Formats: sequence, C-alpha cells, structure tokens
Amino acid sequence: MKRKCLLILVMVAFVLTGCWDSVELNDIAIVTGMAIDPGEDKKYRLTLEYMNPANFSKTSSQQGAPVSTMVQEGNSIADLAGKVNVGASRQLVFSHTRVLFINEKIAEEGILGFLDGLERSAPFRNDFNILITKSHKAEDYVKINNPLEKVPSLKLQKQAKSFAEGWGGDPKVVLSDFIDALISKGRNPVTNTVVLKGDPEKGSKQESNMSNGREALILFDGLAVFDNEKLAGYLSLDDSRNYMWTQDLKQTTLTFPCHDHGDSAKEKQYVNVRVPNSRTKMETYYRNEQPVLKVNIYTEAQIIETQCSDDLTKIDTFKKLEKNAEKYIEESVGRTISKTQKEYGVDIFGFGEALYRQDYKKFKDVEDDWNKEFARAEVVVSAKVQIRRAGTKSKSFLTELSDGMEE
Amino acid sequence: MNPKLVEKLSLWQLAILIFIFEVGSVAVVGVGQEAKQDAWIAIALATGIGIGLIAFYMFLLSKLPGKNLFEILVFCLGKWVGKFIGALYVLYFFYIASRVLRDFCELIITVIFKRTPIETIAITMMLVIVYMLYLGLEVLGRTSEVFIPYVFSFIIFIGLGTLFSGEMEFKNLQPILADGIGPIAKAIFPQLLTFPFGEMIAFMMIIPYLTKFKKAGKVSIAAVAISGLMIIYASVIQITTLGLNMWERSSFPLLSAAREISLLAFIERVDLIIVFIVMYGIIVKVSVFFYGGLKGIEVIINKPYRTLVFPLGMVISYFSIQISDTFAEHIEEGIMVIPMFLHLPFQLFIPALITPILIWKVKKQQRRTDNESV
Amino acid sequence: MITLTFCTVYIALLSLVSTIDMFIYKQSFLTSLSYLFMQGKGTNEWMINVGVGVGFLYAIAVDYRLKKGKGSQKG
Repeated sequence: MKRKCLLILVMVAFVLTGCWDSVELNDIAIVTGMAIDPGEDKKYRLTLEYMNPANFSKTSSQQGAPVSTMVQEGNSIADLAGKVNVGASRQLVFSHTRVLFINEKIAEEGILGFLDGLERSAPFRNDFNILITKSHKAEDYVKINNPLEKVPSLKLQKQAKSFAEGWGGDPKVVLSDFIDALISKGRNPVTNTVVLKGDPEKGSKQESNMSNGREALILFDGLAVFDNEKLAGYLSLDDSRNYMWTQDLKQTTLTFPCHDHGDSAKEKQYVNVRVPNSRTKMETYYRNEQPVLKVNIYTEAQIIETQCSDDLTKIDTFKKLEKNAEKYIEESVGRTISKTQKEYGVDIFGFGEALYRQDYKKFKDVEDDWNKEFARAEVVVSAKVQIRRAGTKSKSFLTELSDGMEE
Repeated sequence: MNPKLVEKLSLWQLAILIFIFEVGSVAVVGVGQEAKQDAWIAIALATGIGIGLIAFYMFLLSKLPGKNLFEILVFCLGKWVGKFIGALYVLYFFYIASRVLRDFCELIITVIFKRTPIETIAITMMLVIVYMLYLGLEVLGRTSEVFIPYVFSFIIFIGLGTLFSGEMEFKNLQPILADGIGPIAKAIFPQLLTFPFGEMIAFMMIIPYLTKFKKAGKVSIAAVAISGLMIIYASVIQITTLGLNMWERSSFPLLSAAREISLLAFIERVDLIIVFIVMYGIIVKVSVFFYGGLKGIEVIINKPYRTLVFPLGMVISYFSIQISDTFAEHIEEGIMVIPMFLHLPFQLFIPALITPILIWKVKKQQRRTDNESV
Repeated sequence: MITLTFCTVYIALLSLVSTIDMFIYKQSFLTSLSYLFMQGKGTNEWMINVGVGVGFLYAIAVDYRLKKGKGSQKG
C-alpha cells in the first residue's frame, strides 16, 4: 500500500510540475498602446508601445525612456504581434492595452478585419479606446511624451475619460460597442478622433518634457462616422457633444445666449450652465409612413457664469434662461442629426435600435434599408431643462451695475 | 487498510450537488440562444418542466425505495434485458462525462493556459475526480459543502458587479416576445429540456443513497427551482451586459460579461472567478455522471466499483479528447447529435417506457406479499 | 474481471464515438475509427494514450492481486 501511495505521488508530481504557462516577470513587457498604419508593401504597419518598468520604480526612476516602440509590417495584426520579438527582447503581454490608434486611411479603406483578432483573443480585454488618427501617421501618436503621464497611451485614455466626464466629448467607444454597432442593422459605429498638433519628431524626445510648452500635443477632434466598416466622414467637436446628448451624456457645460438681440457671435451675451446630470430617451415611430425620430432630453443645470444683467433672484429669469437653454439644445442637437442625415445618411444614433425595441414588426420591414429611412426621417428634439441654482452669488454684479445705470 | 467507503449523503448535500450540477456549467456556457432576448423566459419555462422531470424521476424512485435506476431497470425488464439497457446507460453516462470534461478543458485552454496541452488538463482534472470518487460519494458532498458559499456568492457578485459598473443595459431585453412563442419553444425543445434539466437523470443513481429518502423529493425540487432562478439570473446578466449579438457569438458569455466589470477602477479583471465556478461545476458534473456509470457497472458485474475508478477515469479523460478533433465538431455534435439521439431517449423515453411496467410489477408484488401475509 | 470491464467500456465508447463521427463527417465506420487512432501525430495525444495504458496496467494488476488474494484464501 505504501509503495502504491508513493507511486501515485511520483506520478502526480510528474503531471503537476509541468507549468507550461509559467512566465517570469522580468521576461515580459506590458503593451500599453497599438497603432495601425497602412503598410508600404504589406497590408498593415503595426506599432506597439510597451512600458519600460525600470522607469516606474520609485527608487531608481528616470532610467531611459518610459516606453519603447516597435514597428513592423505584415499582413495580419496577430502575426505581427506574434513575431514582435524580431526586435523586442521580451514577451509582450497584451491584456493591459489602453488605446488602439487607427490611421484614417485604414478606416477609409474599411480593412478592419483585424478587429476580429482582438475580439477573439483572450488577453485583449474590452476596455481600450479606439481612436482614429487624422493627421500624421498613427505611429507618431504612441511616441508623444507628456510630463504628467509618462506613457503616451495612458495619457490618452485618461484624457478621454476626463473629457467624457467633464464635457461629454468622448463617446466611450470600446471594441464591443464598435462591433455591436457594426453588425447592428439599426446603428452605425462612431469613434473618437485625435489630431496631432506640433512636431512629432520633437515631441517624442524626452527633452520635450523639460519645457513648459508642449512641442507636440494630441487633441480630440470630434467623431469619425462609419458607413458599415468604411469611414464616411467626420463630425466636429461640437457635433460630437450633440451626439452625446442623444446617447447617455452625463455631465457637460453649456453656453448659450441669454438674449435674442445681437447678430454676430461676438456681440451676443452668454450664460454658462453646468449640467450635472441628464437623461435622454429616444423614440422612433412612423406617422403615415413617415419615420419620425424623436429625442427627449431631460436635464438639470446650474448657472456658473452669466454675462447678462438679468436678476438671478427672480423666478422669471430662471424660466427665461431655461427656455433659452431648451431652445439652444433643441436647435443644436437637431442640427447635428440633420447634418448626419444629409451628409452621411447613416444612423449613428441608434434610432433603428429604438424602433427595434419599440415597434419590432415595423423594424423587421425596414431593417435592410434603415439608413435610407433614417435619411428621410423627420427629426423632433425636445429638451426639458431645469435650472436649479446659481452658484455662490445670487445677483450678478452686472445686475447691480445695470441697476445703477438705469437710475 | 483502505479508508472505509462511505456512501451516505445528507439532504443539504444533495441540494448543493443539484445546484452546482445545474448551475456550474450552464451559467457559463449560456443556453437558450434560439430564444434570443427572451432566453430568460425560455429558461423559466424550462425550469418548470425541469421540476416536472425531477418529480417524475422521484416518483419512479419512490416506487422501489433504496433501489437506483439500474436496479429498477433490472427489476422491470428482467435480468438480461435490464442489464443490457443498463449497460447502454453506463455508456451514456461515461460519454456525457467526457463531453462535460471537454467543455471545461476548452475553457481553460482558451482563457488561462494557452500553452499547456489540453490532454494534461484532462488527465489532471480527472485524477482529482478519481480521488474523490475513490473515497466515496460523501467526499464529493462534503467538498461541495465547503465550496458552495463561494460558487453562490461569486455568481451573485458578477451580477452586482456588472450592474454597478454601469455595463448592464436592460433595454437589451426588449422587445419581449418579438417573434411570438415560436423561438422559445424551439429553445426549450430539445436543448433546454435536456441540458441542463434532463441531465438530472444521473441523480437517480445518487438519491437512493440519501440518509432521509422520504424528504428527497421536496429538497430536489426546491434545488432545481433555485438553480433555475440562478440560471435566469446569469442569462439576464449575459444578455444585458453583452447585448444580443455579442451574447450569441460568445463561447463563454458569462466570462465575457465578467470582463466588463470595473468597480471604482479597483475591482477589475475578475473573470478568473468564473473559471473557479466552472471548475467546481465541472468537477461535480463529471463526478455525478461518472459515479452514475460506475454504479451501473456495479449492478451489472456485481462487484464494488472502487477498483474500477482509476482505470475508467483514464478512459474518460482519453475520450474527452478523442470525442472531437476540433471545437467546432464538439459544438456541432452538441447541437445536432447529442440532444436528439442520446439525451432524449435516455432521459425521457426509457424512463417513460418503464413507468407502466414498474407500476404494474410493484402492484403485483404487493398483492403477492399481501396474500402471503394473509 | 476488472480488465474485462475496462476493455468492454473502452471498446464500446470507441464505437460510440466513431459512430457519431461517422454521421458528422459522413464517412464509413472504419474510416472514423481509424481516424481516432491516427490523429495523434504532432499533437500531445500520446499523453492520454499513456493515461489509458496506465489505467489498463492498473486494471491487470488489480485483477492479478484479487486472484492471488482469492487463491491464498482458498489455500
């Protein structure tokens, strides 16, 4: 019996010791960003950005550059990721990828087949931002230094998060959202875009962190609109916030004129309100064979700046401002929707999905050319704004000033 | 010399075993895809039918207390026919055990151990199960008692986690009953009916060994009901978090859903707890089927099953690999062949066939004993 | 007896698996049976073959011991 036990133990030891998948920590490097450009001879040109861990240790920081990049050309992204060690020393770990930059030329040609590889593979988590790069090569974007965030891709991700929370400018598109929208018949995908201002050559040098001004800076630049998997065009930054109104915009800051008088933008006087939360309901229905797209926006707001002399202690003033804000939101959101209808004719808002949920049978009839239905639809935006409070001062000094002038 | 073979289960252990057996694998692989966003309705209905099924099995068992499925077969159909059908059942149980083991190995290979050969995982996993069954059924019951709080709370946690991460969109469940009742019926029959609920047939080998057999019926019905609720819960998590398309395309939807969890930028990447749930679920499932088969052999060859555990365990790990060369084949078999040609006959038709014989024979026997006593 | 059961279960499962393969791939029974043995090259299938082999040896050993035990009891 004892011998048998021993035998079993030995056998178990044989089977269990083989840790095929063990990886030593100093044999790996963590990939933080990927950039995909069209290749010169081959289909893709992939740039991988991976961290240099020595630079992040507390005791001996500033050893060399915080990240390193590796550029290769090939016909499939997975292949390139697999043979990255043609130049890199360590095995790369992809589970912490933060940003995927796609050159707009790739998006225009619509060769997004590589997204399947990212979705299929287990290491890639569904939490990296997809960004379309508008100027320069996508390769340059993963190299731009920044003194606050050492890793370029982490900087971009944080920037996107803060932008979404502060102003509502980032649609928070991750891979699953993109693919969902791609295969959905009632929605087309959008992604955020970035543009590089400055000199990428200088911006990629460590010395650029020593100066207070930025040699090169990556900025968000509105939305990229996709017609199926082809890039159809862009929407401006303002339009992208209006787009977010129709989705789930959480917070933003809104500037709208408080009077009707004044013609040019410079002459007008403005009120600025902070929107701490907002809710949107989309409805799509048919009125006599005419599709109607309805967006209902319910919003709370508080005044943070006013340039007008209206008395902010009066209910009437609040009512008037609310009305102006509603009108402003309705106009600007409506403008963005009709612009999308006219210029691109693709439903990026998900009105089709709303119809799918609200009137399934009707949607089944029109699903194959929903985009045409979308383009000819009537747009109704109705906003309900409630201005609650006005910051730490009640009357503006401007009110006192104008009161004095009247006397 | 050997530790004594204990084959007694308490009611609580039975309930736990049923729960893990039902939830462990089903919650993760995702069922009811034919019903689209109404999968939860389909599962709810299937749970109702599942309760009916277990009640039916309990009815069969209660006719001959203390006898398991094989002994009932022998009792009804005579020694030779009964043993032959019993042998078919043994094959069925072993085959399903291999399939279930393969499911798990695929998950592990895909998700964590990318370079480890699948064969190693099959063998090591099987060694654990062999050891458990070698020590007896009660070990399985007690181990489950230890693990149930984790399995249960982890599944609950996944739901709360996705909810508070803001990833759940309940509008994904709309429109309800868009295409009417048709897809739901298709999802229930035969898929949902046989997997997971019909597989309860394996418990006909375990329930007779309970300490309190009389209450087993109520307990197992309650356990099935609770596991049904849990499966509904899991599928609602999957559909709301992933959306319909993604859910249909995922091999392991709950795993994909768990990946979306990101609480306070701190509790992230919790998908490994899903692997834990599946792992324990699979251990229980394979053990129950394997045990069922072993018990069957015990009835057929009239020898204790203990010496057979190791060799037959190896056979199961062998077939878990040989069963199909590719994952696609595995899935296709699972959809086209298994429910129609294996599950339905063994889970429904044979039990249904022997029911009248059983009732008739039991009555006859009773009459005889009555006559004798008079 | 143990060895016999082992072999019976093995062969029966083998034929069940190849019958199912037969329907799936629409080929003859023997082809799918031979496929089950041929696929091993280049993969790690030798491991499970070793596993089954060890199981088989174990079964023989147990049978032998049982027989010896019986014999000694009688004698």
